[in-house]
Amino acid sequence: MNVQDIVSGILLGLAVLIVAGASVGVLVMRDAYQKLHFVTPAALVAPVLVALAVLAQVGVYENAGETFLALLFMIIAGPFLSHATMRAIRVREKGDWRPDRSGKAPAEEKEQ
Amino acid sequence: MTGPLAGEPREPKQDVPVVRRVGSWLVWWVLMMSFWVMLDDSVNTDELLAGAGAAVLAATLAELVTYQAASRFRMRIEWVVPALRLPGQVARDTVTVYAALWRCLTRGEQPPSAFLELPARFGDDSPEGVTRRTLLIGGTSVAPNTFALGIDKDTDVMVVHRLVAGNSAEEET
Amino acid sequence: MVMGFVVAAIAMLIAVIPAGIVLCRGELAASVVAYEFIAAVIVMVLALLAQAFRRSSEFELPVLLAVLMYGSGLVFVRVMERWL
Repeated sequence: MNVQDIVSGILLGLAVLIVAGASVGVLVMRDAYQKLHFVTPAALVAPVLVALAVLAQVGVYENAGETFLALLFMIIAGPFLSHATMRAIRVREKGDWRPDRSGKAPAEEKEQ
Repeated sequence: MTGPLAGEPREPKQDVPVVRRVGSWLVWWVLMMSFWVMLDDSVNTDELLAGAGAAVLAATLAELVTYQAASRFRMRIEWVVPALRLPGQVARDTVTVYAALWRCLTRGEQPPSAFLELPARFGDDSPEGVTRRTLLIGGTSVAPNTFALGIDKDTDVMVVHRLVAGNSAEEET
Repeated sequence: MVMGFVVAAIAMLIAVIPAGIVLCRGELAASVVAYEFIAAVIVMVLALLAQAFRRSSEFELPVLLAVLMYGSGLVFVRVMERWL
């Protein structure tokens, strides 16, 4: 086992732990808004760690480029998908994503 | 990003010169052809010809869709500079989110999540305005602790949801 | 290091089980969130397996799934917002 294997192993282990923790978060959080916050670690942080592990292990070659492309697309598209999902959940629940403007608009709206 | 439901038809408010549309189509073609070469992993003539044809279809569809959606993007370099802070923000928010999960599992404490309104100028509907809002929404939604729902045109605020609210000072945008 | 990638892929598949419970038993919005989570993890699993076995035909799968995950997620979101 050389240094590359150790570094790659550590990065993969971290990625697995992040995914496992995020999965538990999706299960135990109270509502869909809170659950959605645990998609980002699995869709952004873990792919970065996996990409670094691949880079550490095999370096840059043509097939690794496809792996990086897939992970890069996830990293770029993830925030916009999360934004769209959060907004859709809010619209479905309240009819509009904007806070209720009847009377004084609250600066902060605590969840019930 | 604001107002009507996502995907509702909009009138294209700008007359786009044909030259610009052709230029946009060419950019799409180059991008799609690059993807083809990367995925196909071959520079044989027949493979490249097939890829060129596929790229023509893809570029045509992409240009039609962006024209129908009246979406035009124009970047300014200074808008990319705040993105340099994102990796640190993602790391901090990941710790915050997992700490909230830990507290939830060990003590049963639900995280103090809330919808917040942050000041954010809506701007206009020019290509720069649309691009600025897109990058603002995307940049705000990268880190795990905060997701942006949209920027309200009437009040110039960005509505966000935070898993752990009140963790950091509100940001000026 | 082939085993490392395979072990990581299997571990991620096992780690997805809690999200799978939400997908099956949760209400609609929570199920959509769980679906997006599982799709993201499966992209990584496919990428890890492709790297482990180094068969060139397998490298397209994670790329395709990443693109389809984005598209399908938006379809689910739109349907959930408007009609369900």
